[in-house]
Amino acid sequence: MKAKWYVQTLKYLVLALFTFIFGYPIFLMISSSFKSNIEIFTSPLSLPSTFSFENYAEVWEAVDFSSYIWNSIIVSAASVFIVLFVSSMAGYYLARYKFRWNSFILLFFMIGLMLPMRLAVIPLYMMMMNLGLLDSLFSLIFVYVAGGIPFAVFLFYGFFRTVPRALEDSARLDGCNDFQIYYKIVLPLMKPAISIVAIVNLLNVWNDFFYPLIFIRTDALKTIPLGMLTLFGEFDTQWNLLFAGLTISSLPMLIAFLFASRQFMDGLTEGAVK
Amino acid sequence: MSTQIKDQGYFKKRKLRKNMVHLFLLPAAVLYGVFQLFPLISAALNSFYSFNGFDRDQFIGLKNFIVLFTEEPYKGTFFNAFKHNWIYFFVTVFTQLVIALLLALIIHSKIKGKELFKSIFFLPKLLSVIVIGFLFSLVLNPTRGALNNLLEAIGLEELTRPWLGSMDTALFSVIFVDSWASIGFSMLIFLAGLQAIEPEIFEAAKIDGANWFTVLRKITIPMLGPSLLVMSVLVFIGSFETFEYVFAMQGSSGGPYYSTDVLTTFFYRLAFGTTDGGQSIGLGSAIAVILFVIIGLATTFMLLIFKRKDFER
Amino acid sequence: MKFKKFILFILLVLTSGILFACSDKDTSSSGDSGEKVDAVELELYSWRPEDREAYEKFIEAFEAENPGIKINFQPFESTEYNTILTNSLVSGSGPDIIQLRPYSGTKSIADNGYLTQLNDVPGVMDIEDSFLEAAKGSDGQVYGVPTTLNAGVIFYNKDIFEKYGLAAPETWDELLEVSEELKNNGITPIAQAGRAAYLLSMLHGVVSPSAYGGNDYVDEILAGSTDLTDPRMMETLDRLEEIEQYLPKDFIALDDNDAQALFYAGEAAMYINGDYRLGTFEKNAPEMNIGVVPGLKGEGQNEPYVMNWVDGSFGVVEKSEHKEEALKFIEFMATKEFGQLFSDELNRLSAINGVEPKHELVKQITKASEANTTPYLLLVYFGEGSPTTKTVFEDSLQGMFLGEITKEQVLEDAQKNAERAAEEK
Repeated sequence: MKAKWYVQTLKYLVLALFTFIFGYPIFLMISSSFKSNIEIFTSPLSLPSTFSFENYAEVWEAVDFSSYIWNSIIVSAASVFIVLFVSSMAGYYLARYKFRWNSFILLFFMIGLMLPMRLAVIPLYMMMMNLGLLDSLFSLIFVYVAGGIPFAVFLFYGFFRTVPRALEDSARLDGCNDFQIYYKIVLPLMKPAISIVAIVNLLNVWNDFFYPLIFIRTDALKTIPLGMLTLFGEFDTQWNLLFAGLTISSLPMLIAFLFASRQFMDGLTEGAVK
Repeated sequence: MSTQIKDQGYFKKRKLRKNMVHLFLLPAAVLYGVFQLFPLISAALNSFYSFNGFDRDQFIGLKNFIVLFTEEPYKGTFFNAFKHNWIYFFVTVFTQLVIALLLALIIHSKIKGKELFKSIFFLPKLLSVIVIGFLFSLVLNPTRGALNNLLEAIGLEELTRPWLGSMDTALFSVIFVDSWASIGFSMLIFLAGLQAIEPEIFEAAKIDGANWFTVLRKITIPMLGPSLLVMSVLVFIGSFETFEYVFAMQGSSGGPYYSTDVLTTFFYRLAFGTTDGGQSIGLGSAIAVILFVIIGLATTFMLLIFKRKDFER
Repeated sequence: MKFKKFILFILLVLTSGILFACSDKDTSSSGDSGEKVDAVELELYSWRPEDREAYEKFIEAFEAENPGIKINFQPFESTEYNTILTNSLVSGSGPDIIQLRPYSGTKSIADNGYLTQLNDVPGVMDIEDSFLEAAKGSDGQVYGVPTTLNAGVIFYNKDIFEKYGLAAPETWDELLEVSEELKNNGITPIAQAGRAAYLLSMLHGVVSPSAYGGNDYVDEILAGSTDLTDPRMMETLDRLEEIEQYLPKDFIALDDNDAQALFYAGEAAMYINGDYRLGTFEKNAPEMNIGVVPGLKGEGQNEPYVMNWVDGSFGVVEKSEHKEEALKFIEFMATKEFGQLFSDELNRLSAINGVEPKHELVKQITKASEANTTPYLLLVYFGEGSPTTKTVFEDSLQGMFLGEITKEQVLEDAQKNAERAAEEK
């Protein structure tokens, strides 16, 4: 059945409208980052008259972006990796080994799923101070890992229950021990779950500014979002630099998305269907 | 049940191995227990004390809660913020459920450039909240902002206004920005749901002569039912936890004149104080506990739905 | 068994994380314990990251006179400073010397016993008593050395004033006249922002003393014979209503930097804020020709009321292991030498007697405040409660300008909060 032409036109109009709504602010951010401060003021909507990277050079000079980017990468990579690792094991444990306390443990993790951790920031702060972790990337990694675990455990738990046991049993007969079964047989089947957990956590961790704001003091240890706060404090009237800073701080994710947009989106949806 | 017995039989032979198995659980349980559950519990306990940041010596029972609900300025501020959380919820339901579903339906139908549109709509999700907040406080700036400039350029001058600086528009502007960032994600979830529906069902309906709207009402929405419900509970939780967008754009005071104040910003002001002082960790923690209860109830509800869905399978 | 090793490795990484971070901290404070022979290292906490260079100079000057003491300047973001300071004091892990928020900020820390009394430190008692007020505990003892004095002033663009043949306003009526004239010429009279409510408190503070009659009213409030709902206070709100027409359109939506941009661009002729904005101007618009009105005169007065408040002071942590050395630094901060250095480096008003500022405008403001100073009423005497009465007041001003509440309500809400705060104590 062929769709009627006016229905199709309407659809494209809606899509065009939303493309504008979603795309334009980002386009504006990037195009303004090439303008001079006066140009932003006088012709805010037009394309930049020249493509100069002066703003970028100046921002790069003034703010320690290379450190920020490194810190963000380290924190994100470590947090996502640890969350995946420990949660998949816990999920496997809960799905496969029927101990009497399993439902309590599920409840234990569920509390974390239910409650907004941000509200616990003051005790968390004091704890980090007592552990001597304040102003170190470890404080961030620990918080992000702890925050990511409940969701990930539940997702993995759900997934493992859909994996047939026959595979594991046959491997067991072949003489594999539990850990070998886990990471040789079961883990490879978990790709969809791993990708959704990884992407959700990556986006959360990469973009968070709340915990760095509270835990990090040294400039060289700041992550990108916190670095942006510093930048805005320093150049509040120079919008050209602000736009350049906003663009720089978004660039790593945008580039990653450019190369792997399908993996990003399919990863999220494949996990969600289950 | 049979597998359980089998497991145990297997493990009896190797007792050491059996204990080793707990190592699967241990790291997650410890990390989560130490860095999340413990702080949450001690935050909850703080709500029963008079606590100005220095000494937590005075146990005052439920007094913080009573003060919060009965005495000004707390009472007024609390219910004002609570109301905003509800507004946040209703508007976000519209954007995250209605608009996101509409976009998902269009992209799922016969059109060209599906992938491109999907990517563009998802794009904002990649930006950090702080970047989005700053970007939009520049876009919505009353004098130099792009939005007012754009409206003027296309002859809609009477629509220009101080978006973030007026009582009528500030909260909606913040919610709009939040939705702008998250619609793409909801759309993807709906798309996944749509893709899971067998195409034959639609074909059959079309052969029966059902129009688009009937198909939507009779087939699509019921089939998406569980994800719609789960999404609305997620939106509810999100609306009561919301903090970052308000904080990034309007500051912790929820200005102008508390028009964007939500429970989390109210919490933040009391728990951390402002630069002028005014810290009261006890009262702040009481707000946190109230939020725990509200969100806890919502999540329990969501998990019950999950469970029912499980049984259906 | 590859997997077991893997787990072991991860646990190792996790625990080494804790160890590493701990040892990291140890090295930073090793000056305290191990190598006392070399130098005692003191930690100094401040909320002024932007003043780092200046403070490093002060510290250099001090260290030159006091070999054997090293001071480590550690600034934090102003918004997080209170929390960080409270927590480090409670846990006892932190600093030796701390920058103290003035008035109630100092009081709460001192009353909880975290500060060392400074009455006997040479030079401290020579500081003007009204400044010391900012650094006292409830027991009336001094716990901090005030360093900076702030003044709320009216900056104006001299070129614009000259162009239209206007003189700097000296009284409220003159301010209105000048504003009217500027407005008629298409210039925004006052670049005021209101998105951050404290800016409204500032505006109120600068224009109000000449309306409520200066220190007499303040004294009556302190004596408890009147309160914030006094008709004299109402008059100050009338003034705000009157001046609204001379503020930018939608000023409640403007950020302070938007207001500054208007001022720099010559679109607005005046700008009201603390004298510390001089530094900002010099950085952002060095060629601008700026004049300053330190305050407005009351009826029949020769000297304008200059609204002053102490910005911060420095105190010594009671539990510090190196109290003696820390007190030496405090002594240094109470000297004229330091005051002069401070004023020269930062172009701010020093709280130390007899310091001669270099900067012309700072000199003018200092002279004026020496002649007739009046406290920033809301900040100095209404900083208590949670939320503080000052916060309630300025948020209500926002509501008043937006037409949400009446002037009467503004004063009532503030007064109620003040009474609550007093009860809580």
